[in-house]
Order: sequence, then C-alpha cells, then structure tokens
Amino acid sequence: MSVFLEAFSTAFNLIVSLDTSLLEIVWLSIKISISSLIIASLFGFPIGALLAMKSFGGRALIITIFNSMMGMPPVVVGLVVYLMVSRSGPLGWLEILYTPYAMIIAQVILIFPIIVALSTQILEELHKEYEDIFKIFSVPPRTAVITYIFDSKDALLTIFLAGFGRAISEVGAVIIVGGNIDHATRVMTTTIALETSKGDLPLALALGIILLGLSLIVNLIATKIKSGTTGGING
Amino acid sequence: MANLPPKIISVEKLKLLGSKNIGSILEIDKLTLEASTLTVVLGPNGAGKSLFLHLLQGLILPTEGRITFNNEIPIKPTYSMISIVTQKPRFLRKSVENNIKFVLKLNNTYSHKNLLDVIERFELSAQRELLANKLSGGEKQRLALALAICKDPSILLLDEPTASADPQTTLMIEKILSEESSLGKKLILVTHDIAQAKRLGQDIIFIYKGRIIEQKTVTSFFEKPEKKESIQFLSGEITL
Amino acid sequence: MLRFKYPIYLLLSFLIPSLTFGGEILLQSTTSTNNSGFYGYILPKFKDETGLSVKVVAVGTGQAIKNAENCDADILIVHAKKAEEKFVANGGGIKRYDLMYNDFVVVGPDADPAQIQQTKTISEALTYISRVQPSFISRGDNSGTHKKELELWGKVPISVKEYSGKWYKETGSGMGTTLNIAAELDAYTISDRATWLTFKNKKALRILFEGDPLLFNQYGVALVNPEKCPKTKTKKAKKFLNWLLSENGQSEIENYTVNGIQLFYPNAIK
Repeated sequence: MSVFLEAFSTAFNLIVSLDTSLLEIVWLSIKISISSLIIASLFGFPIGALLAMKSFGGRALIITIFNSMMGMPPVVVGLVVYLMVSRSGPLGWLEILYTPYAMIIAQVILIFPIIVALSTQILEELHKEYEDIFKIFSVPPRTAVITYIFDSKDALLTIFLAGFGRAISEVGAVIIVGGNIDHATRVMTTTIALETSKGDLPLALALGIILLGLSLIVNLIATKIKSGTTGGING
Repeated sequence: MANLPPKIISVEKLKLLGSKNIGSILEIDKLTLEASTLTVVLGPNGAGKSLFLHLLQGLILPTEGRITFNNEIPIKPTYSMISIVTQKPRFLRKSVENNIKFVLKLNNTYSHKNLLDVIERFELSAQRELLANKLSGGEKQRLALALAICKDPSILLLDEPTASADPQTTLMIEKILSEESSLGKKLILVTHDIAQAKRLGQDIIFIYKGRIIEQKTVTSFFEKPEKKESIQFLSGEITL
Repeated sequence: MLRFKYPIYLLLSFLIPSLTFGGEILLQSTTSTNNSGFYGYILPKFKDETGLSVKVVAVGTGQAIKNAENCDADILIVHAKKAEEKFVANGGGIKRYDLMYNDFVVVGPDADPAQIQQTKTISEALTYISRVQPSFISRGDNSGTHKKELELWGKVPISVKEYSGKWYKETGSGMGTTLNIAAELDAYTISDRATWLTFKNKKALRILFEGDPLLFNQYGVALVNPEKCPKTKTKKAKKFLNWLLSENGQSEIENYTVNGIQLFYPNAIK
C-alpha cells in the first residue's frame, strides 16, 4: 500500500512544483499524440467515409483488414518503422530515427486503422439513414458532406478520443523509434518504463497517475464540447 | 423540364428484376396517369406497390423500360418535382424544427414565418424541440408528410401515410392530402384502407404479384371490378 | 471552424522548431551507464569544453551493437569485449578502446538459501546455487551482463539451459526489470554494480557475493565505421571519443559518485 501512497504524494509534488522536466515530457507527449491524431484523421476520415458510402469490389476485405489492424501490437509497428527509417533502411536518408518525427509516423500507423474502422462503422450507419433523404430532397454534395460531419460529430469526437488515447498511452512503438532520449524523445510512457526499470516504482506510478489525469482532462474537454454543441444545432 | 408541372406520367415496358433469378418482381407494360388526379394504389402485401413508388421517385432504377413525365426522362436520381413519404420515414438526427428548416433551406423557401406555418399546419408545435427519430409513429408520419410537402413537389407519392396513425391524425393527414390535391398536385397513394381509398381516391390502380391488373376510376372499380383477382381482393379472398 | 485552429497551430509549433534538429552525436549505450545517471553528469562537462551535445539511446549491449551495425549510431559504449571486438572486426566499428570498469555482483534474498555468502569464488557460489536450485533470474537478452553470466555458468558442471523455465528463469529484459522480478520472487541474479546501486526497489535483495576477479566488468568504446556508414558524424564523435580517453575525461569518470560511492573506474590506456 505504501507504494500507492508514495506514488500519490510524488504525483502531487511533481504537479504542484511544476517540475520542468516533467512539463517538458508531458508537453512532448501531447504534441506528438495530437500531431499523430491530426495526420491520421486527415487521411483516415476520408477513407472511412469512402468505405462507408461507396460499394466496390474488395470493400469488405479492406474493412476487415482495417478492423484487424486496430489490434496491431505497438512493438511490431515500432520495429517496422525502425527498419524503415534506420540509417541503413530504405528511408534512412530522411534521418528521422530517434526524433519525434519517427514517433509520429509510428503513432500515425497505430491509430490510422482505428480512425478508418470506427469512422466507417459510424458513417455507414448514418449513410443508411440519410441516403434516401438526400436523394429525395436533392441535397447538393457540399451540404451532404457538412450534414454528415455535423450530425455524426459526437461519434467522431469519440473516435478522436479513442485515437488520442491509443497514441498517448502506447510505449512499445515510441520507445523503439524514439529511443527514449532525454530532452529529445522522452515521453510519459517511456519515462514510466524507464523509472520502472530503475526500480523507482513510486515515481513510475506517479507518472502513470499524471497520464491518467491528462486523459481525464482531455475527455472532460471533449464532453464539454459535446454538451456545448448539441443545444444549438442548426441544420 | 423539371420546372413545368407534368401533365402525363407514362410507364413503358418497365421491368424490375429481383436478385438471384427469381424473375421480374414488377412488370408494367404500359401505364398512363393523368397528373392532376389522386390515384390510389391497391393490392395485397408484397404486390409491388412500394417498389412502384420507389421507381417513380427514382430511388431505384428499373432493369428495363422507362418512366417519363410529359414524355421526358427525368434527370436521375433526384427527381426534383417529386417527393415521397416512405413507409418507414427517415429523418436527420436533428430536432423536428431543424429537419423542417433543413428542407425549407434546400428549397430556398426558408423564413421564420414559413417554418412556423409548417409546424402549425402539421400540429407539431409540442414536438418541435424533440429529436425527429424519437417521435411516435403517427408524429413521424406527420413530419414525413410535412417534409415532403415543404419540397413543394408537383407529384407527391405516399406509401401508407396513415398506417401507424391514430384516428385523429388520420383525419388530419387526409385533410391535408385533399388540400394538396385540390391545389392541383398529383398524388399517388398506396393504402390498405379501402374506406380511405373510397374517401380520397379518384382513380385506382390494382396491383397483384407485380402486375397491374386493373386501372379504373374509383367508382367503377368498387362497383364493377372486372378481373377475377380484383373481385377476390375486394371480397377478402386475397388477404391484405 | 475556430475550433480547428488550435490543433493546427499546435502541429506547426511542433514541427517548426524541430527542423533545426540533428547536429548531436548519437551514442548507443548500455542501460547501466545511462540509468545510473552517469551521462547526466558527464555529458554537460563534455559540452562545456567542446560545445557538442550527445544524444543517448540506452538499450542492452546486444541491441546497442545491432543498432550500431545498422548505422544508427556514431559511437558505441557497451560492456562485452568479445562482441565489441567482433563488431570492429566485421567492419562495423573503427577501433575498440578500454574506457572504464567496475564489477558485477551476485544479489539474492537476505536469507541466502544457497548459502553463497560462505563461498570464496564465483564458480563455487554458482555451484551452490545449482545444487540448491533456488530461483535464479537471468537477463536472457544477449546483453553484456547476460553474456558475462553465461560465461560464469560455463565454469559450473551443469548446463543451466536444461533448467530454463524451472529454477533458472530467463526474462529477456533489461537489468532493472530483471532486478524487479528477482525482488518479487526472492531470487538470485547477477547485476552490474552501477545498476544495482541506483536500483530503488531492492526489497529483500542484497549483495551476497562480490570481489572475484572473474566478476570484472570492462566497458569499451568504439566509433562507428564511416566507410560502412557514410552518414555518421565521425568528426564530432571522434572528439567525444578522444575526450573520454583523455586525462580530463578520465578524471571526470573517476569523479562521478552516487551517494558517495564511485561507480566507474577509468582505465583507458593512453
């Protein structure tokens, strides 16, 4: 039990003292995960929408592939990205191994299938409901797209959260391609892994508590956005 | 073309094949409808009445043949002069008010006054803030009819618009249908309610097993049905 | 649309400063040196003198050498002399130098069921363990420590491989994780002294055997071969190497202590 108490007091001390190295790590975690989320969404949502609304050969197979890719082990992704961006790999000339870029690439690969698969599910359902309405009322494509986004925004926000949660909480991929370099690629999860290996369990747990708190804040903000917009829908 | 109200709807050599070689599920060799009357489509379940309306709206396309309005083939898939109230109407995931607003805006006829008029006419004031998908059956049919009429079509297709309505709502919907008909709109009404057919209809199409068996005025259909299927249907031997 | 402004700003603010990134020397290192805070002490000293920064990737020796073989390093500091020499012989590195040393220790539960505290040599201690067969945790990860451990078991008349998964447990993990497991299972393990001293979750573990010359732990340093890896920053890395081997660097190594205990003993040959 004492480890837990110590962890809570350590977490509390780290937060109230605004520990600069902690802030640096937290900030980097957020930046990397949000960047990954934006990039993965930029590609993931249109592809999800395409899969949801168009029927073509191989569609079911592609959806199955994305669904199963949602469970990809992060270390495998990390390993593959490492082999790609290693100086001796095909993308070695980019020289991004052990930089945040490599970490973003790994996280994009991890969360991209989540965004595609979940947005396909959500938009497919919405499309079934809306397909005929849009035909009957001759809805122009632009209005249709806006309406799809607007009317599924709660669900889309949930997808964002799922993607963000996966990105910020995974360690297997970023530790391989980031190298857990102090002041360069050290993020919350890799710090937790490091402190655990140093046997400093209270500090590791304290960081875990802070990570959890961060997720909580992000989710609260998301809930706030949800409840803030449902009141004033304008078709 | 779309701007002129059509006078004649014609169907020629129309064939719709079902999936997996079950043959044609709807086949109409020739049919001409005057675009000013209220036509009732009668027939037992599964006869192809709903399919017929979906084809007219352009929601599904025929395997063969064509449907023309004033001898012109409409631009698919959205026939701007037609609107339909389907059996299970779908709505946007928005409030009643915002669903109406959405259609009015699409039709460039939105104003606050128009919105209020529609809400009042279809007696949806109490439901205006509710999510459209959360309405009761009768309320949904009122809203679906409201949306279809907001599009200001010259042809209005109605697939059992009073199926899940209580007597009071039925009365209200029928009143609106008569009003719309008297404005010169063409109404094509699928119903199971023979009394309703008699009350509202001017002419009748009787469909059985995907074929049009008879096309007549209401009076002559009910008083002097010619074909044996029609007689069996009216005597209740072919169940609904 | 305003809502999307902030994440985009975030993305930009993140990408722009990172573009200036990339001048540092990349060091692949064993975890013991990094986790003990050694680099945190010594790298700022090097930077003060030369203005050069070093990025440290800390992994097991085996992994560090593999990464260096993939050219993902400019310089390598590990502790497995034979593997280092092989790395150089295969053209991965230019030349290997002795840098510093400390020693390995056998740690185990306070109760010492195998009674190794009474033994005089490491082979005697391991023989006792092999007879009593209490849990022994091996790194099993091809690291410097793991290689050393296997070398030491070679002096005992049993083959531990046969007991793998029974009392001899291979974790395939770093020293810290292995120590965590040993602490939890009241098991024996072999650790480098630096990691042991800075490890905080000791529980009932303590040093039960130390001091045999066979437990000597030599750290070596080598530059990655620019002929094999043209992208290495050989010039900068060479400055770092020379500094580490210089009188200055060596005395800084000597000066580094944790809780008053010196962790590494410099022994570069001039």
